[in-house]
Amino acid sequence: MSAFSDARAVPAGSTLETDIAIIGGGPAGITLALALAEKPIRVLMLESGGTSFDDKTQALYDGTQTGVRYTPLNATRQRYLGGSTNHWGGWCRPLDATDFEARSWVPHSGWPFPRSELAHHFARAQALVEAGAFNYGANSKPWRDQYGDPLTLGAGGVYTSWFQFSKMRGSILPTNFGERYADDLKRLPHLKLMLHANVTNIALAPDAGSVDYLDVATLTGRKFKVKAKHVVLATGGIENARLLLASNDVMKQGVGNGNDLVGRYFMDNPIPRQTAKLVVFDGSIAPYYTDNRQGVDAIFRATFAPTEDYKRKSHVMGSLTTVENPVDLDELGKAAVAATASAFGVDASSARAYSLGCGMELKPDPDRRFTLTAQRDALGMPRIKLHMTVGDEDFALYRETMKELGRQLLAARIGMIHLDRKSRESWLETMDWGNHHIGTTRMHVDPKQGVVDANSKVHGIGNLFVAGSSVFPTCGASNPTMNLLALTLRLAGHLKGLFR
Amino acid sequence: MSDDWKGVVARRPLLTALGALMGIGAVGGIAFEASGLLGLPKRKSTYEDLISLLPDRDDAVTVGSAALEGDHAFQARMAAHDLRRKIGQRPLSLVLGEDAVQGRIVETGGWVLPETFAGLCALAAKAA
Repeated sequence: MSAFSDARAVPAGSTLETDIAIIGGGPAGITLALALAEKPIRVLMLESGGTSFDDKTQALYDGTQTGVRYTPLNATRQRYLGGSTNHWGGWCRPLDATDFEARSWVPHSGWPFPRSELAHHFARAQALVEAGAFNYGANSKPWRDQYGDPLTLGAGGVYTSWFQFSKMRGSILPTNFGERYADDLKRLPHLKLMLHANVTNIALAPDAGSVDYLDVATLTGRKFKVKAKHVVLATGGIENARLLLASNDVMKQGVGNGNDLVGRYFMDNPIPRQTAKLVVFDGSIAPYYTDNRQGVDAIFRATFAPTEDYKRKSHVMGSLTTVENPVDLDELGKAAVAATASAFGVDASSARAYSLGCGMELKPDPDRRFTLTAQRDALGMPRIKLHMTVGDEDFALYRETMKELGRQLLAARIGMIHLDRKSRESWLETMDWGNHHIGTTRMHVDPKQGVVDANSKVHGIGNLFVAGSSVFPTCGASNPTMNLLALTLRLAGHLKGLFR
Repeated sequence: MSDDWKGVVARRPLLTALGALMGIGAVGGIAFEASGLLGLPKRKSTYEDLISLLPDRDDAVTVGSAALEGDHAFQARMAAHDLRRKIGQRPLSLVLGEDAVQGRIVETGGWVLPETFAGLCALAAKAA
C-alpha cells in the first residue's frame, strides 16, 4: 500500500505523464479510479484538497449569484478528497425510466439512451454507496412485515415509492468516499492519487481537437504540467463548467463551448418544506413514512411519487414527497376533516395531520447558468457567477401532483390533503435546495444541443471526458449520487475499451 | 257625511293594519335573529333537502364559508338544481366517492374536496 502523493512536492516546471488523468477526487473520480483498477492502465487522480477540510482550499469555491436565492457556492460543495460525499445526506433512489425519455412537455429533455443502459451498473453503484440490497420496493414485503403496510391509495397517478440510504460502517451515516475508499485507492498498483493538485487550465492542442496537457498549481505556488492520453473531468457540476470555460487559450469561448452550452441548463432539486398537509382519517401511518427505518436488507423510507403513466399523461415533472412532522390544524382544517369524513361515513375521531415536503424536478432552463466573472481566486482562476431560476410552472406542476394524491386519498376514503402553498412568494418562503449540481455539461448526440456525446466525451475533443451529474440532460427528482456513479461505471467500461 | 270624511274613515283601518303588519314583521325579524342567538332552530332553507344530507352541519357551514369566499359567483339556486339532479336518491357517500374516483374535485381554502361535498357546504353556508 502506498501513500497518497502531494502536489506540493512535485518539482516546479516538471511534466508528469499518465494514461488517464482524473481531475477531481469526489465520488465520480473515486468510482472511476476503482473501476479502472482491473486494467493495467496508469491513472493519475488530481485532487485539489487534502484529506480533510481546509479553509483556503474551500475558498477557491467562492462565487456570486443572482436570481432566486441559492446555497452560497462555497457551501454547497466540499473541496477535499471525497468531494460532496463529505457532507451528503445519503439519500438514494434510481432515476425513473421517464427521466431518460424525450418528453414533449419538457423542452430539452431526452437522454441519448434509455434507463436500461444503466440498469446493470446500478448494483455496483449501490454497493459503492453501501445502501444495502438494490431493492427500492421491488420486494417491499420484508419492510411491510416489519413495519406495516403503506397507505392504500385509490387508483391514480401517485404511488408509494422508496428511498434507500447510504450506510458507512456501524452507526456512521452516510458513506464518505474519501475516508471509506482511501485504503482501497492506496492499494491500486496503477493509481497515483495526488492531493493539493489544482488543475487551472485544460490546454488544447493547436487544432483544438484534443487535450495536450493540463496546467496544475498548488496554493503554495508550485506549478507543473500533466500529459495524459485521456482526461476525465470529475470536479462536480459547477466546477466542471468553470474549468472548461476558464480554459480558453485555444478556444476563446472555452473548451467544449463552441455552441455556448457549457454552464447553461444548471439544475438542482428544490426542496420546498410544508408544501401540504396530509390527513389520515384513522390516524395510522406506517413509521417508514416519517422516518428512515432499518429494514432487513437496507435503511429505507417511503415517499409519494408520480407514476410513469401519470407523468406521461398529465405532463407533470418528477417529484418525491416525504411525510415530515405531525401538525395541528386550524379551525377550518378541523371542520373540513370532520365534515368530509362524516359525509363519507368514516370515523375521523382519531385523525392525524402531517406536513409534507418534497424534492422537485426542475425543467431545464438555458438561462439558469454559470458564467465567469472578472474576479480571480488565489490560483488566478476566474471566479464563477450563478444565475438561478425557478419557473412558476415548476411549482404549479408539483401542485397538480399533490392534488392528485388528495384525490386518491378521498377515493380510498382514508384521508385528505390541504395544499399549503399557492403564490410564488409562498413557495420560495421555505424552499431549500438539494445541493445537487446537474446539467452544466449536458449530454446529447448533437453537438448543438449537448457538451458531451453519449459516451460522455466532449464533442470535438478526442480525449476529454466528463464524469458526474453535470452530464445529466434532465435531473429527475431522485438524488443524483447513486445515479451518477452508475453513469461513471458506464464511462469506465468505455475507457477500458479504449485501451484494448 | 261628505265624501272626504268617508275617505278619512276608510283610511283609518288600512293604516292600522299596515302598522300592525310592520310591528309583526319587526317582532318576527327580531325573533328570527334571536332564535339563532338562542340556539333555537331557524326557518328552514329551501335547500334543506340537500343540506340535511350532511351529517355534520356546523362544520359544513365553516367549510362552505371558505368555499363562498373563493367563489363570489356562486349561485345557490343553480347549484342546488345541479346537486339534486346529480345526487338523486343515492347515498351521499357513494356520490362523493364517485366524484373522487372520476376526478371531480375542487380546492376550498386549500383543502382538496369532492365537488359535490363542496357544493353542499356552500349551500349550508348560504342558508346559515
